[in-house]
Amino acid sequence: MEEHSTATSPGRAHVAANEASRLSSLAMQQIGSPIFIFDEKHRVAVASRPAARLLGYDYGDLIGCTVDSVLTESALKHYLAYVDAFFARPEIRPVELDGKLSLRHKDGSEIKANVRLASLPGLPAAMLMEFHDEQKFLPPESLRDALAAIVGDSDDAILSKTLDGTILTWNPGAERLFGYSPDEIIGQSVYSLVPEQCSVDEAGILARVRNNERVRHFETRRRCKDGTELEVSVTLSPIRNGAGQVVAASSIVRDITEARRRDAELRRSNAELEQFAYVASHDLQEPLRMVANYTELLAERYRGRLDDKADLYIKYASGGARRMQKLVSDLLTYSRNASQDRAPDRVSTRALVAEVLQSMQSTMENAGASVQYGELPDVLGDEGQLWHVFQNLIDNAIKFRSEAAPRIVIAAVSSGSHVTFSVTDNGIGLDMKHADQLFQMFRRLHDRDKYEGSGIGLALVRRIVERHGGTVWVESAPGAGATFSFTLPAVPDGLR
Amino acid sequence: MSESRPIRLLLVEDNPGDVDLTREALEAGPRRFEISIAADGPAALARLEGEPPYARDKLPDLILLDLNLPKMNGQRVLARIRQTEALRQIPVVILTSSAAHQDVISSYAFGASCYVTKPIGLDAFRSAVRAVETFWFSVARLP
Repeated sequence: MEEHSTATSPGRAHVAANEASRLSSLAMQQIGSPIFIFDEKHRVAVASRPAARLLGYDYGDLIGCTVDSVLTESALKHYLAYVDAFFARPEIRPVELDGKLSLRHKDGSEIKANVRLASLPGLPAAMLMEFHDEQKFLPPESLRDALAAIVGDSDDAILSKTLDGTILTWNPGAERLFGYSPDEIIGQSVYSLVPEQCSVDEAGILARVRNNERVRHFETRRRCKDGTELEVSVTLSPIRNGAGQVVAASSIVRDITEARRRDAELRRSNAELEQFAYVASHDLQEPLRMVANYTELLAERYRGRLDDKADLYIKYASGGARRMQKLVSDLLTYSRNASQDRAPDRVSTRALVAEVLQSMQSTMENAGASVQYGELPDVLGDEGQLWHVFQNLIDNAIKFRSEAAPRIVIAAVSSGSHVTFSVTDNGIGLDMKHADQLFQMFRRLHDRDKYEGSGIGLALVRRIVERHGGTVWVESAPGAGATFSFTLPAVPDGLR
Repeated sequence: MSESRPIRLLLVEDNPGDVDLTREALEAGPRRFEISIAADGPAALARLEGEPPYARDKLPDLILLDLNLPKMNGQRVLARIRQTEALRQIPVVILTSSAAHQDVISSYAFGASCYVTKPIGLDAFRSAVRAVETFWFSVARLP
């Protein structure tokens, strides 16, 4: 019996110990801070998940790693010396390794950490190692210092004020922006920074903050010490006391004068550019018409009556005039579409495509082209502009055809707020490395002599699609045809 | 087409090339024309208002008016025509290279009878002139 019981009870104990070990291993994994347990061979026996995260390991990979792979070389020496001393008198006690050890991240970088070592009762050869990542676990006073440094270094003016507007704090950014030193301004009213015409606004936003509301990016004006006025964006937040009552307001003031000026300049230069394109294309029409008509007349009246070279020169001149005519008329279309902004309307793309195809009938017949399209959904947009989108994409598909007759498929997929259209051809295709140039004005990927065009068509397509809030892209490979896709706003449910 | 007299037409055009082309296009048609040319605004008005040496009674049946003219632009010439009792009933066809929307609008506002943009391309130009001719002299009734 004795033998029997001595034979079975360690067995039971063993099972229980295994179960306990499994449970504690599972529990260990769930601990929120980085903890390792090393066995007598200095291998990681158990670790918490944060320990693996801290060192950049997958959890499973960390188990079994030896201590020298998770500590830097110098740290390892300290560790071994302390561990030897520790095992000479194992007991549960914190052991400070100068408080710090350098851990080695999986990527080789060094992590400084505070360490606490403890032995584990009943497991004399194992020890527990607990880290506090210095960088991640800043003590509260360091956190406050860090926040103060952030406020101090900010380019924005950051200040706080009482709810009636008396300035309490004033960062260097505020000093730079407004020109007042903290001594001059702290204790003064914030209204000394507010131009008279904006004081109503200021009272309004302070009232909102008193009601525990945050006011974000309120655009208004502020006056500096030297009297200049700035356009600013102000964000105000309530500051609460321990009881949760709003006692003051913090205010972040950003100077947007320059941004506003650049904005206005950009708008003006865009408008001027559009105006230029419009005027240029009109004023170019007249001389162009003269060149085109009279080289044509010259050809008509004098072909064969001069020498062969003269005939050739006339042909070059007519060709140039014809290309320029296309260029000018496309430029005109582009600038017109760039400058017009109409309220979007419901457009039947199926009817629109039919109309475009009707207008292109002779081009299609000459090329032997066929176009297939099924149900195409209605969209919201400017019908006149969308006409150019379909016309240019179909025209492109015919123009860049291969030896085979052009087969073009127009399809659409609706997905919630937008519809994606695609125009697929069996043409010569293009190398995708040029795809981003394709939609730029005057960019041509293919030989001018072989493929006529102004280089404006796809720029116009992109312009129009983007004005409709959509995007346009191409998928292709040389010799494999091309698919141009674009998105347009769907007709909202209520209007369907 | 054996009318008693040829159709009197005033062509206000500063571009000699376009004068030739227009004249040729008109003369290629079935009608007889007596075309007088004014190369700028004041010259056109002098003719119409019968200043010497021009005779008052020989008013044109139709005026073809360019907009971009020296000295006085086409819109001003048109405005003067419409303000002048003796001239205001004469149909005025604007024939210009401008396709600008504001030119179209202002021309009609000043009383243009119709507005034609000169097409680019010889055949297109001739067709446009012939279409104007056909419309005004066989479809429409003139005063």
